[in-house]
Amino acid sequence: MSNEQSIKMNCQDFCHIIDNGNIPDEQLKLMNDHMESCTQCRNYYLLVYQSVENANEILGDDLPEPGLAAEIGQFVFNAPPLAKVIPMWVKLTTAAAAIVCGLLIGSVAYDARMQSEQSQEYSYLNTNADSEKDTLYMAETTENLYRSFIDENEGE
Amino acid sequence: MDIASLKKGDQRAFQELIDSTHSDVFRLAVKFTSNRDDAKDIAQEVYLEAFRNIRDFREDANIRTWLYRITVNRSLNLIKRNKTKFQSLSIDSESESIEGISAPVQHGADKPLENKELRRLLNVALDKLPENQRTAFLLFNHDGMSYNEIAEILNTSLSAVESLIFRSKANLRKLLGDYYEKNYRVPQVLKPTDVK
Repeated sequence: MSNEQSIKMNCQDFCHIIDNGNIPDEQLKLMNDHMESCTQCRNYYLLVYQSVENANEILGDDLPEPGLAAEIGQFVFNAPPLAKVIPMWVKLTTAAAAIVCGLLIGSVAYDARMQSEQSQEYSYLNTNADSEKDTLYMAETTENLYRSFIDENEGE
Repeated sequence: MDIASLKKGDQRAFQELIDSTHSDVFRLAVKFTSNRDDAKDIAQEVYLEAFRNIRDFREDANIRTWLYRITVNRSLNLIKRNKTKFQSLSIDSESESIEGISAPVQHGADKPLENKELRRLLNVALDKLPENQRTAFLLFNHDGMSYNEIAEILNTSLSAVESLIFRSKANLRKLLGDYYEKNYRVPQVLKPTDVK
């Protein structure tokens, strides 16, 4: 104890009451007496109890400058109009639709290109003339085989 | 307050709203940010947001409470942005903790703490509280706001507000008490006559 006059309450009891955050009326006088003689406990009271229970006084009132209301008004009324907010679902749907359209257009373009490439290849072939030649070649071959067979087996 | 004129976008009516409420909004923002410039920016943003959304304002609601709610949200956003900014700049992010701040050198244990110092320490301790406790505590200490108003601003129940304020006070006492014992309390030296 820092002073002999404060024998009625010691620092430990004092701090214990402050820590609980509730000062009983019957202890108030004893605590005041203790604080008068013990600066450390007085500071403890100021910091741990007073600043918490009366924070409004401690934090103070910072009044605004006189012209702030007009300044806010100017800021608000001269602010550029807010850009129209596009909802997320609209953005997602648009993106999905764009992808589907892209795929469709791509597949149609691919098919058209393949068809044109194939038709270009076929344009080099004269399919009717070739088939006639093939038929004639097959008939000649069959006849030649038949004759050679007759010749080989002649006299048997 | 002529809500109908406000909802029509009447600038004169809105300026009247600013005139009558800007001081409360500014002071609340100062309590959250501890910075007048930030509070001024927040006040401007609060009224801009209110002006843009006034058409959707429910006429049965309290316009002051609505402005306070926007102020709280804007202030918390700013604090978060600043914390992220400063944490990325600071090598030692723990330097802002209440344990990390040493007691002023010139302060003697036998001198009473000044209001300025109490305010500084209270602000540092408030920064250590969870966001909802800090918000409830600061609103409670703003123009004697009632629990009902705080519940409306925070969009929570009355019992939740009571609990938040109770816990915020208990946590502040613990933080400040530990800090005091660590930094201010001078160990008692026993006199030879004290020892029996």
